[in-house]
Amino acid sequence: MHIQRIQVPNFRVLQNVDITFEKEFMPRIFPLGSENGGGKSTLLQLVFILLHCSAHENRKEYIQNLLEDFDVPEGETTRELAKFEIWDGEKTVELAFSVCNDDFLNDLSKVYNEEFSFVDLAIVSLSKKFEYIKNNQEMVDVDPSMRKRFMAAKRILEYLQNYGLLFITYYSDSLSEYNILVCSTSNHNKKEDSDIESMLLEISSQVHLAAPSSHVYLFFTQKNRQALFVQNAWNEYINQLLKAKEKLPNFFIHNFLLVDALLKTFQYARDKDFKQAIETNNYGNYYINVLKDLSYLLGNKKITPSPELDRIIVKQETPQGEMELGPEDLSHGEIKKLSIYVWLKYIIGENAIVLVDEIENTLHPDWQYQMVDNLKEWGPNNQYILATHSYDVCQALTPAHVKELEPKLLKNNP
Amino acid sequence: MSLSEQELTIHCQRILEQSRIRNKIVLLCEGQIQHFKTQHFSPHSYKQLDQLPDCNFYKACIPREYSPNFFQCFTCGSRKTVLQAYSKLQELHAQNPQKSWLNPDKLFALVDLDIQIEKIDNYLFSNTEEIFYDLYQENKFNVRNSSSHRIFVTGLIHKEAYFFIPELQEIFDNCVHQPTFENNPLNLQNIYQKMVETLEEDKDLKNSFQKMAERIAYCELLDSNSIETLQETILDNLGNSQVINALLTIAKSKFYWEKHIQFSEYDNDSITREIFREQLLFKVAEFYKNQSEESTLHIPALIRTLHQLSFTTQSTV
Repeated sequence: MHIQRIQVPNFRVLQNVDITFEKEFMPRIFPLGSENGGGKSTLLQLVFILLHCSAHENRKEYIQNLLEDFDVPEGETTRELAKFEIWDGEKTVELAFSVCNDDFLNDLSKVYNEEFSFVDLAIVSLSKKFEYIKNNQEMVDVDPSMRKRFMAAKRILEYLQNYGLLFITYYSDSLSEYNILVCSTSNHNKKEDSDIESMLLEISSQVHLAAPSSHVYLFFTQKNRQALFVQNAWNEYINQLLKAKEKLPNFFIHNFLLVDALLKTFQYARDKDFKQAIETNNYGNYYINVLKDLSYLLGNKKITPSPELDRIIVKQETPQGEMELGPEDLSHGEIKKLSIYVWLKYIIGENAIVLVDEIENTLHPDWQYQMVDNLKEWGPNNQYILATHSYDVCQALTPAHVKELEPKLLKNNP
Repeated sequence: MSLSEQELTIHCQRILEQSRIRNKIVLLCEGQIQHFKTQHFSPHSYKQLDQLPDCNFYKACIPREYSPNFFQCFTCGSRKTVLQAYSKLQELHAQNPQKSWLNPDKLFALVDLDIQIEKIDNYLFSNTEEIFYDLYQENKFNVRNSSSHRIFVTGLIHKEAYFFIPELQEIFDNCVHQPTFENNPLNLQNIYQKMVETLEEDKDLKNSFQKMAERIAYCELLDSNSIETLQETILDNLGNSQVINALLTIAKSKFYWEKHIQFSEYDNDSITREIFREQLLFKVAEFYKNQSEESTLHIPALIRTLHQLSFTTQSTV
């Protein structure tokens, strides 16, 4: 899986974004630069949320949050949000996300001689029986008071389908009016909803976002975003982060140490060695190799599991011998490197699209430069888009690998 | 690329003002000068570069066990201007050490051997050829002598000759976008053959043939009485690694790397041949980076020497 092109005409700070990521490049690692406030994080979050959440009902609240202020201009009926060209291994799939307001339904209203509103679709989409419409089933046990709304919603979906549009979610804009987000593909003239949905489903499992815990996440509600800046509300923010991590399986906070994942890694290696012993009478080297990898990562520090596999032990080599430390004694940089290692090597699968925000933070310039090699080694078949300010990261690649959100001044004065 | 006296001074002053060189090895090498008008290094400034800076190749060759920043590399134009910059930096530092981050004991230069011999003033060796003979014996890097050097020359004719050593064939074969030579997948033997066949067209080689013959005199399989006999004996022994090394010491490899290497078909017009070539360069660098401590290949040996010198030369406070 590989994102070949991202186009965003106008979303928050992003304007006329059109970036290509060549699938022919080796390695497929692309630093993404901009000024501070230039929109790198916004772009990564937009890409991640649209591609990771659009095919899953329980993730759509994050799309709604993200689009909170995304209005359709006065006098218009639709507004383009983002376009993607994605290489699925055999062909390029084009996906276009745009939003429509109620006025979009004018033609439908004329045909049926009644007013259609996205409010109907919004209300019905919250119902568990929404599946009846999506799957074209009979609405046998729908409450009679709701039946009219269901019929309206059904007609709207059919109407959208005639335009090749798949309904993703509703959201309310800054004027508290209902809009809807739709997705289309230009690959075929008559694309069935189920085809677009299955494409989105496949992509959603392959796209990952890693970012630091202190970030402002635009896919949180405004109230939750503000919690980051309110005294004593930090806990609330952390709770939201944890909730998001639970609901968005491919969302990863790279400055939290994955103790559980590390322990699972040890357990997995141990079991693999034992399995090999049963099959060949010789233990394998998986466990030893994990230890070696970790030792290489941390230099003079070693990480091992406790005999009960319930905690990790950190040891540091000193002139006086080995000294035992706690995981809390690891530096920010060490935790980050370790986390990314475990994440790429043991958690996310192959052939993924990996978006990493602030890859360089807390890393020494040497480690920033080496991160490109690390990514190649830990997840060689992935595409990486790295939001960064680091010259050291870029130096490990060719200038053509570096992508950029143009500085505002250049854009205004070409 | 030549620089006026004023341009050279400005370039050197900018190097001295870079705080990132503090107590680091400073390595001057050939290549297009990067315009670092400010101290601002960002993805934006990197993207603005027309091409991959030559020094990034050497940086990418640094083994993983070493800090990738143990030396700071600066391109200074042609071989001549690199050597001028080497002297100028010392001069400017001595004039005003308060305005310089340089540790003169940690100043080094690396230039191509090339065919023409370049004179050097006020240095341990009076020209590039003398450095070559002290640093390489029978094409082997002389580790014992190396620590006394501050100006290094390549053991093959150009830096680009190191992109054509026989050990790299496997890397070329395994590239997703395979490099090609004369419309066929790059086979180094074909390049060597072409290099031999065109030796007689190289006027510089003809004019300095006696000196070039001396360079490769250690290779007993070769008859260097004339260009013709040399061509014949090389062609007869193209499977011999010593002979290939000898060829890469006198045949202008840079020309072949820049003009003759193409890439297999791909359906993306926006990617130029230069971009693929730069990416291939990183693959080549990876080969050198992954050599063992015992490797006798010139580039790893040179980097090991620099690394050792980074500890043995005196640090300033």
